[in-house]
This record gives sequence, structure tokens and C-alpha cells, in this order.
Amino acid sequence: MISRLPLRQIWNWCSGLRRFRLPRFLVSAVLLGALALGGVLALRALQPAAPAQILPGQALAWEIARAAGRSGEVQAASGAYLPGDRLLLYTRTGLTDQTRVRSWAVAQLGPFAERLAKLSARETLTWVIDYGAAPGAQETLTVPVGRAADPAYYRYVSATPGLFAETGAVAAKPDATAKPSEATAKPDATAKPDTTAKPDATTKPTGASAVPTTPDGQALLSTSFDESGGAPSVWLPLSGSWGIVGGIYSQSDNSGYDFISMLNLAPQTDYRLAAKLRLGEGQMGGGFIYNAPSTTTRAGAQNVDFDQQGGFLRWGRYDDKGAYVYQGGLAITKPISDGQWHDLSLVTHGGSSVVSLDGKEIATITNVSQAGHVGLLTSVTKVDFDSVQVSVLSAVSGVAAPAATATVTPTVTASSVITASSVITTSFSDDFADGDTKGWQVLSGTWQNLQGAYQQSDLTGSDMGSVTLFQSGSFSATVRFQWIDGDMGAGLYFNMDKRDSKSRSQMINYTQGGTAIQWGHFDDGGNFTFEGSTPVPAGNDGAWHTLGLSVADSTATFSLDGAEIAKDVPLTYASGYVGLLASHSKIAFDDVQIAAQ
Amino acid sequence: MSSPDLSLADAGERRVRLVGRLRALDLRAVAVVLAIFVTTRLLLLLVIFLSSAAIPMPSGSFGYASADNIVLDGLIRHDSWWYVGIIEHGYTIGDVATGVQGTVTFFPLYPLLVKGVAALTGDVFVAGVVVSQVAFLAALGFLYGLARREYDDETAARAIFYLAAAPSAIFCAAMYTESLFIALVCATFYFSGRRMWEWAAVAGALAAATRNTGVLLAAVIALEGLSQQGLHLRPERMFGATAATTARLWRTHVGRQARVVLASWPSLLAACYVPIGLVAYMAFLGLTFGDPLGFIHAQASWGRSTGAGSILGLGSNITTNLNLGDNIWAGQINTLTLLNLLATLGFAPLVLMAALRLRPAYGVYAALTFFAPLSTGSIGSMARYILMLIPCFLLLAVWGRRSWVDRLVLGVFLPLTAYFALMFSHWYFVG
Repeated sequence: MISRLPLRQIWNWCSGLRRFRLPRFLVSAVLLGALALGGVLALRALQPAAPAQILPGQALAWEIARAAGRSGEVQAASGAYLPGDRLLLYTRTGLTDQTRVRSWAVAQLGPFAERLAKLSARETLTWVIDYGAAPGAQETLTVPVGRAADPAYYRYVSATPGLFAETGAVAAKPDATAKPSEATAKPDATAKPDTTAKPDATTKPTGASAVPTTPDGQALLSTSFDESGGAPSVWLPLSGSWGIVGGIYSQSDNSGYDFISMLNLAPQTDYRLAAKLRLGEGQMGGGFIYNAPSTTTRAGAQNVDFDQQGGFLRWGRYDDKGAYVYQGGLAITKPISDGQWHDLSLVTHGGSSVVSLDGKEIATITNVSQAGHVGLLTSVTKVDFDSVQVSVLSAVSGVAAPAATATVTPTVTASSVITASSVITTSFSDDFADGDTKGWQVLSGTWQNLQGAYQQSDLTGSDMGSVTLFQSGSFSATVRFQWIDGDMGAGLYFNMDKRDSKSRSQMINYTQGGTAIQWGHFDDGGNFTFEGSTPVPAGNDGAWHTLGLSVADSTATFSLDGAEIAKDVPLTYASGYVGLLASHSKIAFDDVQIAAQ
Repeated sequence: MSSPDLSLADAGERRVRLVGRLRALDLRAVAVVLAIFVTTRLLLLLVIFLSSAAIPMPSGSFGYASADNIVLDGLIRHDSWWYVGIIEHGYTIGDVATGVQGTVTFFPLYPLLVKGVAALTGDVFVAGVVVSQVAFLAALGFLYGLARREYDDETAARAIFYLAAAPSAIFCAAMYTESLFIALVCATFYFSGRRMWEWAAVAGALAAATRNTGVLLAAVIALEGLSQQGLHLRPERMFGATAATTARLWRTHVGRQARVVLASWPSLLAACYVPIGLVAYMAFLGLTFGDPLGFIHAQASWGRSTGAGSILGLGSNITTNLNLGDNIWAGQINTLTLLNLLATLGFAPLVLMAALRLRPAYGVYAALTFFAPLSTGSIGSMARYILMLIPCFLLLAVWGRRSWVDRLVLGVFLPLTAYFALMFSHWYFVG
């Protein structure tokens, strides 16, 4: 069998294998296998890197950036952390308004404030926000990480392409910055301005340190003009001759009216504008321009300034062509043209502003606009300004603590709360002995505290009003009044739907030259609807009279000098605010007493 | 005395052998390849330099590789940054839920090479560009050799010029994987044509580790071997005079083809080696992420899908993406989609002709490479993918023997080459 094996064929087959280079392929297979194995090993070089330890600050920066990025208008957001130094945020947003940018940023940080506070106290948060249409503007927010919860500590620097002007600085002094709780716990700081009210006539005030800081205010600007280089950049003089001399901002041209220097700040709605001013040579005085739609024109703005060499405070507005329109004013018993520094402040909350002179509230203005830019103003007078301060206020906060407004006692005649949300429902009284007008909101007319009485002196208008914070549908009220001039038109508003409008309110007042008393209501459109009247002895005799009012169950009972003149009069409006009323007459009011039943 | 004589004889023999190798090197071919490589690179770099210096970059959150070198910077765009990320930080698997895109979809050979070169240069961007240029030079060399063997020197020169001056040729110069992959494809064809199956297997395996379509080169190697052995699917005569004759014809044919297949076993074995590159990558993914198919699964994090349903939606996707406005002449059209559509429509007949006119390996490779991206239901990046249709460039080079065809091709290619280079270097997505 062996000899019959096809040895030749086997040999040929093996030769064929040699021709097919089988060994070479085996070698190459081994090599390729090794290559694959080597490839796998080499690929270890491309293994994902082990994640580095993420610091809490870094994680927080990312989280804030991620949260910011969820806002619809945000186009880019990123965060970084420099341990021991700062937490950096960057955002590019489509928001176009600086104020909205700031409020948005503050709102974004709110939820993270607690975690930010756990970072090192040495660290700060810096947030660079590009906003607006390209090339847009830039807002840089800085706050100590431990103070992120308190907007009062926020510092802003604004910039636009080609211009990097510092428009904001921390208003609070370092001490106040370190202890905000103490600052807010002492509202007396604003109620007792004696230290600032009596500056030395020959020396200029000590600047920002002498200015009381609004406790809950977020300082937009505080300058005593002592800064080197910083302050001038925020001023935009529109007319007149403005300049900083010896740390004082002076307007030295007394030849013209309405010389204005605007502040290059964002428009505000709730704010406090304060400054020291000293009147120099001239016939009128100076003051503030506010709620200006633009920093480049006075058109549409409002103003409050001194006239008659500081003997009269007036307020008005500029129409759309920039022409001045007088709206009201009051005499200043002691003209401020005494060469002394005086504190003038204006606290604005949307539709109303409260003017204070040397720490005393002297007038409440009903604004024609809700927000705008602010600046300084002079007319036919050289005026020095110093310690200019602008603070943003909370829309729902005033100077006094909210608790005081809720439980106001008869002796707390000036609750000073000017927001609609602060309502008195128990009792209210004001004998005007304190000399101020706190707690009153002027609806219309010229109201001022003169010689311990609240006087309305505008003879031209009807239904002039000033309204208290008291609001109820079941109460009794009395007020003493004295006719001084004009047609006798003294009376009361009651059951007012709103403090700043006579629409939807009840009223009672003298009419027919003081020989009758009428009552009725103003409807939704402010139109008067007569509901009844009764003849009374002439009220324009110069004597003090007392008007009484009792409201309950949508009915009212009226009395004059203790005698009932109408009983259970049905009312159109069942409850609301209570205020004073005067039509075409100069009336002095006193001893307002209101108590809920 | 005898020893010195022997050493002299050895030295002389070595000298003769060296001269012979130098002659075999064919300096003319080297010069042609180098000249075309250099001139086309200079053209691209000149366009990038002039446009980057004269036309401001669009605003946006982009990364820049080098502020001091706008040419280098202009070559590091879009996917380049994904490779940089892989090289510097390793792969990521991605997560569809969180929208994190997985970089495992980028195959590893290119970033691995760049990382190795970067270890020498110290600069990942320079390393990426160097790897791309070297790889593309090799691609041109292999393509030249391939085309010259198939046709002639002039056709070979045209083929490499068409490839080097193709509209989307910027991707072969940029820090992209295209140049390396094309080099390995050309090498696979080249070695297969010369029956150098071991080298073809190596090139194919490396290609399979460079792009997901690299594994298709297994078919190239197998088909080349079979066709070289004379494989025919049908007999010369399909029918005989009688049924018995017909049966005998087919039996003979099948037996002959079976012997052909058996005789082709080296190429078939080599083809089996090609997936090694892919398998190695899958092993890495399995070991690292626990998902050997991560490169497929991660496609979802890029919003891609495959399947019959996807390709059926191709037409509607194109119509949607073209975003035609009321007035096209006012520019109310998506130019990126338009260019991809033109590239698809322009190369579709070339793919068809390659399938009909060239050897099976070329036709099958061209068809698979062309239709694989379209299976996602999108023509996105087709302007870039056509670079890998090597058989089509060979076909164009053959047709380019006619001068008017040559001028037409260059007249279309060169302006678009500059356009793509300008757009790419300015961060506009072109493929």
C-alpha cells in the first residue's frame, strides 16, 4: 500500500503550498494579531482622562452658569473659579436694558446665595455680562461671595465699546458694608439728620460719609466729588457751566434757566436721590431733575427745585418740547439762600415722590411718569452740589419697618410708608405738630405743613386731595378745618379705591360758597355723581369747624360741628382709603382722627 | 589574500543592488507626485492666508489654535477640535439623555498617530497637520502607482491632481482623518493589484481602525484576488444544445470557479485580516466603556440614525434642508445642502460608471462608500465623503485624456477648492 501512495502528487501538493506562501501568511497573521493587540494597548493612550477633583467653587460656578443659560434670552454662559480669589461668571444676553440686566443677575444669584456664602470670605463673585444688540454694552457685577444674598453689596461697573466709565461705586462706607444688619436695624439714621443738617457754612461737607445711607437701598452712586477722575465721568452736563472745584460740583452760571447736569445712570423706578446744595448768587435756586426719559434732553422729565431764592419749592415737568410746566409748590418758611448747605432728597416710587428738606418730608408729588434718569438742576442761580447719592429702593419697602405700619398707633402720625401694600386698618391720626407731611399722599393741589396745620393753597383746581394710608369700610373720622381763601370747598374723600386717583371714591365737601354740604361719588372715569346735599351755616367764616363721618355697611352718617346732617346715606363704594379734599379754596386742616369700628 | 577579494566582491554586489533599487524608484514619478502635492498645498494655504488676513472671522464662541499663525489656525476647524479633545482628554462615550456627544464615533488611528507625533513636536495642532500632510503625500503616491499600473503616467498624474484639487481637498490638508484614510485605501488597492496580500491586509486593517467604512476594504481585497484568478459568475456559454449539455457546462463552470476560489485563498485570507483594526477598537471600547459597539450606539448622541426608514426619507430631508425661499437669487437657499446635493448628483453617475467599467473591487467599493452615508437619510458632508471615492477619480482621469474633459473638471474643481478652503478656514461648516 505504501508503495502505491501518490508520493509524487503529495510532493507536488507540498510544492504548491510553498508556492502559496502559507508560512508567510502564518507569519503575517501572527504579525497582524500582534498589531491588533498592540493597537489595543496603544489605544490606552486615548482612554478618557480620570476626572480631576472639582472644587466646590468650580462646581458652583458651573451650576450658576448653567442656570443662567436656561434663561431664554441668554446666548452664552460660562463660569470659572479661582480658589482664594474669585468666582468668575460670563454671560452674553439678549436683554437690552441695563436695569433689567442687573435685576436679572440678582435674581439668578439668589438661589445660590447660601452656597456662595460657604466659600471663603476672602473671595468675590465677578459676573461680566455682555448685553444688548451687537456690539452692545457690558455690565460687570461684583459682590463678596458672602454677601450675594444682599443686593446692597452689589457693585456695578458699566462699559460700552470704546468707553469704559465707572458708573457705580459702593455707596455704603466700609463699616456699613461689613454690617448690613446694623444699618438696617437703625432707620433712625434717616430720621435724625441733625449731623448732616447743620454743616459748617465755610467748610464743605465731608462727602459721602456724612450722607445717611438708605438702609435697604442698593447704592448706584455716591460721590462727594473728592474722587480723582472717577466722578466726572458719570455726569453729563446738558447746559450751564458745571465743574468740580475743590471737591464741590458747582454750576456757576446764573444767567439762564434750567441748567442741567444729568447722571449717566440707568433709569430707575424706585430710588432715592439726595444731595447737599448751597445756593449762591441768583434769583431762583436749584434742585433735581428726575424721571427723565433720556440723559440727553430734559423733554419729558420732571423736576423739583427751589425758586424765589430758596423761599419756594416748586415741582413740575418738561413737556415733549422741553417747555417747563408748573404743577405745584410750597413756600419754605425759612428760605435756604442762607449760604448754608442743605440736604435735599427725593424718594420716588413709581407714581409718587416724597421731597425732604434737611431731613423733613415737606411734600409729596404725584408724578406724571413712572421711571427715568436723574440729574441736577439750577435756574438763574449759582448752586453748589455735594454728596450726591442715588440709591435703588425696593419697590415694596420704605424707610420704616413694615411692622410699624401694620400696628401704627395714633401718636405715630407719620408712618412714612408710601407704598400701596402698607395699609393702616386700625386707626390713624395726625395733628401736624411734627411739621412734616409723612403718611400723606398728594392726589392733586399744593399741600404743605404750615404752622402745625396741613394747608392746601391752590385756589384754581377742584377736588384737590391728599390721602392717608387708612383704609376700611367701617370706621369713623373727624377733621378740623379752617377756611382761609377762595370758595369754601373743604371736605373729605372716603372709600377711595386708590390713593392716587379720585376715581371710584366717595366724597363730602362744602359747596355753594360754603353754605351747603354735598356728597356723592366719582365713578370709574372720575366723573362726579351728586348723591345729596344739605344747607349749613356759612363755613367761610374763618373759624375752625369739625366735619365728622361714620361709615358702616355701605352707608354713611355725616356730622358738622357735632351735629348730624345726614344719616345712613347709601354709598356706591363700600370701603377704601380716607383723605382730605379742597376745591377752589385755601384750607387749613388739622387734627385728623380716624378709627376703625 | 582571499578574504579581501571576497569583501570587495560583496561591496561591489551591494553597490550594484543599490543602483538597481534607485532606478526602480523612478524619480520622475516621485517628482510628479511631489510637484502636485506641493502646488496644491500651496494653493490651499495661499487661499487660507489671504482670506484669513483680509476677511474677519465671524463672531462666536470658537476656539483658535494659533493666533500667531493664521494658516495653521485655518486648518484646525470643526471636527479637528474633537480630535484635539480625544488626544488631550481621551475618548468619551456620550450620553443621549444629557446631550453629551460621544467622541467614540471618531475612529482611533488618526488621533493615535497625532498623539505620537505630538509627543515629538510638543504641539498637537502642528502634529495633526503634519500627520495629515504626510498621509496625503502617501495617498498621492499610492494612487499614482495604482493608476500608472492600470493605465499610464499621464492618467496617473491627472488622477492625483484631480484628487489633490478636488473641491473639498481642504479636508486632506486640515486636521481631519480624510488624508490618512485615503492613503490607506489607495495602499490597499495598490497592494491588492500587485498581489501583495500581506501588505494589503495591513493597510486594510489600519483603514478599518481609521474610519467606520474602512472595513469595506475586506471586500476590495477579496474581490481583487478573485478577479485576478479569473473568477466569473456565469459561464461563457450559459446554455448548451441539450439540458444535459447545459448541466455539464454549468458543472464545469462551477468546478472551475471553485478552483479559482481555492486558488484565491491568499486574498481571501488577507481579507479576513482587515476587520482586525475594527476588532481592536471594539476591544478597547469594551474594556474601557463596557460597550464594544459604543461607536455605533454613540451615533445617537449626534442625532444620526441608519436603516431603510432613514434612506427613504432622503428626498424630504434634502428638500427641507435646502430651505428654499421665495427668491433663490436673493440667496434664500441653504448653500451647504446645495453643495452636498451637487456633489452627490455629480458623483452618482461616476459611481455607476465605476461599477460598470472597472473591476468588481473598484465598483463595489465605490458603491458601498457612496451609499453608506446616504443610508443615514442625509446628504450631509457628502462633499467631503466623495474624496474617498478613489475609483471615481481614476475614472475621471481616464476621461480626462480628452482635453475638454480635463478643462471642465479643473474649471469646476479649482474655484470650488478655493471656496471650500475659504469657508472652512472661516469657521463655516462645509462638510
